[in-house]
Parts: sequence; C-alpha cells; structure tokens
Amino acid sequence: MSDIEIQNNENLRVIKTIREKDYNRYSLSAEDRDKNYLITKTIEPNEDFFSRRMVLQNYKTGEIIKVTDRKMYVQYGEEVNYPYEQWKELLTYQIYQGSKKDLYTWAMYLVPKDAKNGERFYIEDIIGDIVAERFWSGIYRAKNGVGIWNGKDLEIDESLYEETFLVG
Amino acid sequence: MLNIIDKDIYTEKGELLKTIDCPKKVSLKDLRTDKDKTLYCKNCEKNILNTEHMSEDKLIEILKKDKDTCLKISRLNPMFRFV
Repeated sequence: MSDIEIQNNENLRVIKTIREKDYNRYSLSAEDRDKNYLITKTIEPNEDFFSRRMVLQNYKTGEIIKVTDRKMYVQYGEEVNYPYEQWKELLTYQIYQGSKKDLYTWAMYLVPKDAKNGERFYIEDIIGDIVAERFWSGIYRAKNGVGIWNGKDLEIDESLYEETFLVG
Repeated sequence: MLNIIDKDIYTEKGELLKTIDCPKKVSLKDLRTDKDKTLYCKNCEKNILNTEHMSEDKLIEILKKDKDTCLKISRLNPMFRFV
C-alpha cells in the first residue's frame, strides 16, 4: 500500500530524517550535530493502523475465505454478507497496515537550532505512522508532511492530509 | 470513469454533473460517520454521500436528479480521474 505524499507548497525549510537502518558512524557530521537538535524517537505501532480480518468457512461447500467483516463493502457499491448460519468463523485476527519494517527501530529528525517556536518545516520522511487517509479497507500512512516546531519536538500538521478529499 | 476538472465533475461524454463547492468549507472534522457508514455533516445537519462505496452509474443517477447532493470524494477512488 503506497504512502500519501504532499508537496512542499509553502517552500518551507526541509527537515532531514535519519533512520536506524541507514545509520552508521558517518551519517552525522560534526556540523550536523552542532547545528541541529537531534530529535530521536523509537518507532512503535499506532493503534489506528490495526484492522480486523476474519477467516470463515462455508458450512456447505467447505470453502475458506479471508474477509474484513461478515458484512463487507466491496468496490463499486454493493455489500457482501457472510451470515452466521452459512459461514463458520475459524479465526479473527488483526493486521497492521502501517510500516511494519520500521517498527521497534529508531529514527531522528535534524531540526536546525535556529528554529523558532511555531516555525513550520517540511519533513520528507515522517517518523512513525500517521493516518493520512482511509479508503475501502486500506489505511494509508503519511510519507511526508509539515511539522511545527514547539521548542521540543515537531508536531505534524495533520490538517494537510484532508486535501486528499473533496467535500461539497 | 468520471472526470474532475478543478471542482467540476463531468461524465466521460463531457456532461457536467456537479460542481463541488461547499460554501461552509467543511472539513473531515465536521463529518460524522454513523454505524451504517452514512456520513453526516454537522454544519449543515444533513447527510453527505460517501462515494467510496458507490457505483458510477448510481452516482450519475443521483446527481442528475439533484446537483446539490453533497459528496465526499477520495482522490484514491479509481472512479474519478483528476484532470
């Protein structure tokens, strides 16, 4: 599932992200260390990215299927039902729809030490999973976005992801 | 497939179905999703049609009857082409 991207339309200063998997002793220069706050975070699952799946078996035919629910909305309009009297539940489980490969690692933002409180920065690679959009059964994470410096950390401006929708 | 040019929705034959233009600039925070997946706009106190689970034919039929029907459209929805 691809991540949702937004552009640096505000021409903001860009925040660099370093991830554990890319880190080695040469990743940060002395200048990088001196001129930036190194905002370092562990990456843990975001509850919003868990979603339910079920394995059902048809009593009559023996067919086994994987579904999101006994009542599922499917592409282009209709809903499909798997009633209790026809389908036996073999298993209910949860899947994680965020970036699993980065879980339980760490990453850091390099925030310039001259950042002003309230300053907006463009983050090319957001640490952790933030919901940018939900569509059909998919939960899409934000690849990049805008972070607002609060003196200690960057707060992601999640309102920007609303641009992936039109309402009216 | 329906074409969206600026905020206008057209059929493939070029017929204008609707202009998406919320005068109240509603955002997702203003919408409530009910149990049956109905979307409700807290600003206007009326339902919004979620095109996520809708067929193209059904949507065209609804918009031909009432151009003022409010919609929620995701840019990921393959029913729409954003031009």
